[in-house]
Amino acid sequence: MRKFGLIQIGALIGVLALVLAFLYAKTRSYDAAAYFENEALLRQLRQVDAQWELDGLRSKMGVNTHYDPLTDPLLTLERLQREFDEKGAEAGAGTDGGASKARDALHQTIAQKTDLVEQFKSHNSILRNSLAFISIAADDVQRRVSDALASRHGDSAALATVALETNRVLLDLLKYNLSSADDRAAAIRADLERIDERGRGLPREVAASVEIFLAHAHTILREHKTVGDLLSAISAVPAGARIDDLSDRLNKWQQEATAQAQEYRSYLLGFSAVLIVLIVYFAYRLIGSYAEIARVNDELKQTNEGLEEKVTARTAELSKALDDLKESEAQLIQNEKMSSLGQMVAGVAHEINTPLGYVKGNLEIVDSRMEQIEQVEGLCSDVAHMLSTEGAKAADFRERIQTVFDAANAIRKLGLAKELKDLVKDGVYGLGQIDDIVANLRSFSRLDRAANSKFDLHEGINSTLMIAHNLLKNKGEVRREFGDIPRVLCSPSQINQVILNLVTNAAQALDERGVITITTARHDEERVRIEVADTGHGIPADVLPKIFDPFFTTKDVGKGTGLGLAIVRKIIDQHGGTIDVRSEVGKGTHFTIVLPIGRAAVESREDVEFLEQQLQAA
Amino acid sequence: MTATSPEAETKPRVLFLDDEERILKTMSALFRSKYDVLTATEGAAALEHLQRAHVHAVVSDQRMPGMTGVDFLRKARQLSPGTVRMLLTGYSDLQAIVGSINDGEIFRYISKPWQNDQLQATVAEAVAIGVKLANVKVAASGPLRLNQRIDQALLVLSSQKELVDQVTALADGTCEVQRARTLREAVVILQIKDVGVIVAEANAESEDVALFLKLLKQKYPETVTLLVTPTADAEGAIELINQAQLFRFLAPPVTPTMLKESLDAAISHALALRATPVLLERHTVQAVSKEREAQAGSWLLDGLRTLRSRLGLSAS
Repeated sequence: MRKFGLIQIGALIGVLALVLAFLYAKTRSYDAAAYFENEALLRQLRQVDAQWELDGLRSKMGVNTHYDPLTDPLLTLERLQREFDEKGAEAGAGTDGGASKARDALHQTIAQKTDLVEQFKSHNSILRNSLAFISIAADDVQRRVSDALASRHGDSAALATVALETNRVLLDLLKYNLSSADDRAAAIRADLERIDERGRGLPREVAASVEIFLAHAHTILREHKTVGDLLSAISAVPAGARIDDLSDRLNKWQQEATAQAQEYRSYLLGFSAVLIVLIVYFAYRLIGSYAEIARVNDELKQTNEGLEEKVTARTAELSKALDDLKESEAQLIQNEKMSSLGQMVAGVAHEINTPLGYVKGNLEIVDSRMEQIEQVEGLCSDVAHMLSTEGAKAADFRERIQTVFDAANAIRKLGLAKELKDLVKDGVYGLGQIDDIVANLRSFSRLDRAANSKFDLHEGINSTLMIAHNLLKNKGEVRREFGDIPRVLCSPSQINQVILNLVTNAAQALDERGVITITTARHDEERVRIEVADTGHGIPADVLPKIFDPFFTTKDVGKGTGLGLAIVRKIIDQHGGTIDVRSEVGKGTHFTIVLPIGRAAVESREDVEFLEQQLQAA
Repeated sequence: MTATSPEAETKPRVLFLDDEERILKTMSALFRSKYDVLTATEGAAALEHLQRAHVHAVVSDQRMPGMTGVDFLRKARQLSPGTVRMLLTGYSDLQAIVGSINDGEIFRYISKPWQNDQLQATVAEAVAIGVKLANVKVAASGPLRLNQRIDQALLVLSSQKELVDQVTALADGTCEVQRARTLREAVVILQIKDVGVIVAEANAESEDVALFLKLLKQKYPETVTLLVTPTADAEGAIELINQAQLFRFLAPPVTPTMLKESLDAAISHALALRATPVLLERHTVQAVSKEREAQAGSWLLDGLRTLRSRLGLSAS
């Protein structure tokens, strides 16, 4: 559908509409009603024509005494002619050349016939006039003859003959008027010749009336023939044939028109069928399109609904992922704590194991030396017993004393007393060492203190260094440059954790024996500063900005979590402090922490939770 | 224990190195009756002692400022190969333990805090060996170039073909390389071949290669053993020192250089052991506990027993 443009579709619809209009016009060009009207008119014309001829014949015969029957059809004919002309043109007969000619011929014929009828009317009136007056003229002759005879004026025989002849001719004329025989006309004319001859010799009065009679007789003879001829001519005019011809043509034309209309009707039918097929096709396409649109709409609707569900599901997923992330973050922080805790514990274990080793060893030695002391003690007891016993021999006594001396000398020679003293002294010292370590551990963890308290940072640094001692002792020197700083309100265990982390990093940065310097100072009225500097290998400039990022580590996989400094920064942030670092490769790294003195580290519920977590982990 | 002490000159000499002076005092109190006790708080001072006079045994701490115990022991090995070396430490650092095997080639690893009687027994054992070795010329087991054909076979116990190929390539025809995929195969090969060096790979399979090495070393101290293992714990490694006298402990990835150096050292050490049987004394191992030994299959124990009788080697 889309490959047709709007113009093409418009053009196609236009062409189809034109074809439809054309075919419809073709079927409409034939008007059956007009045809039948024409046919009726022609039939009327034919009847009028026939009636007319009959009337003409009647007039001639004298049946009709007046001429109305002859003129009436003429009027009717003219009216019908006009009507037909109008209808015929309307019915499209004019388009047909044959029909047109036929109609012209009919026109001519009727005009001719009208003309003939006019002639007939005038001639017939003359004839009627003479016929009416000839009897009067014959009577006048008879009267004049009788008068002449009575006065004996002229030849009486001739008079009688003329009277006789006149009556006979009158009768013949009347007969002739009815029969119209030509031989009779000739006989009458001969008779009239004779009467004329005889009338000349007669008296003047008689001769005048005969003359009038003869004039009428001649007029009758002449007009009768003319009227007869005209009637013949009228009936000879082929009006009926013309009408029939026209009727035939009309009929033929009508048949042709019907056939043509039939043909176009079938075309129209075919075209309509094509149109219907097209309409059905497009309707089908339209329905298909509509179904497609409806389907797409449904899908869209479903997608929309699904989208909402998906969004909900995805939101749930995301929030779960966030929870998981938080959980794993906590887990990682915990791991980091456990990892540094593990390191610390191992270090502390070694720190304790060393004094524990010699305290235990010393006590075991003391225990084993007791044998010798007990031996001397036993010998002394024996001597004392002998002294208290009467009858003891002096020699025995001397021998016993000597044994005691020998034993005592052996002990003295070994330096047992001093040795035991030293061993015990060292043992006590060792226990003191262990005591210190435990005290430092407690101090480091600050579990016995409030999460937030006024804390002596120096105490924290010292205990932290103690904890880290094992790590630091074969690495290098630790310098403490402590300034005069007030106690700081903070979470001691967290600050210790920060210092431990920085010190541990510093120790790891020392390639060979180096120096780690921890400096404290008053930063300004409200803040203190802690600096941890090492003379280690330093941090490259491209790495330096990333060191506080979580999971960033330069250590081997599994060796460091990469969270140490991230946690350090978090703790310092939560204390409202700042941490900065500067480093130079080959020279060392310098961390500077600035902490507010009086600021409460706990600011929000989340922080409290975090701190609690930290404390638990510590 | 008697208060009477022999003359200092005739007493065996034992050196203790620890940065904690009180430890040294304790050692002194504990051992001065039997041995000529030397002490040092720093590695450098201890090395000076070694240079000044022959020391039969040395006991060193690991974590010390300056020189670590492993560093000291490596130097001590080069300076005085006949001195029996021991590590006494309270810090189970795997790296240190591996170092003490590969670099220190130590006789025993002792944990702090110790039991006086056990420590005394261990030191006595070490001193006795040290005394036997004192008169033997022992070449430092440095990297001898192997350019002649060696009669001993080299056994590779590994399920991976990779290691076998590596070792074969490195041996380069100087000695026969045998491959065993399982312990049973290894025992069979040991029965028919004179194996000087075993390169064993501890794999994920259930076979207890460590126990095998311990039992083997106990009955067949001539064998020099190398272990390639990706998983190592401190305690297991300490046991491999004390109970198997493991010669080298290799953690993957094993580089060809590392493997070559270890193999060269192992082969020359094995040759030295054959040439100078008294050196075997140094390879005396602590007995595997009965419970642990019971974990081994009887086929392994029997196989190892017949091995010794076949070769007719004297028990140490």
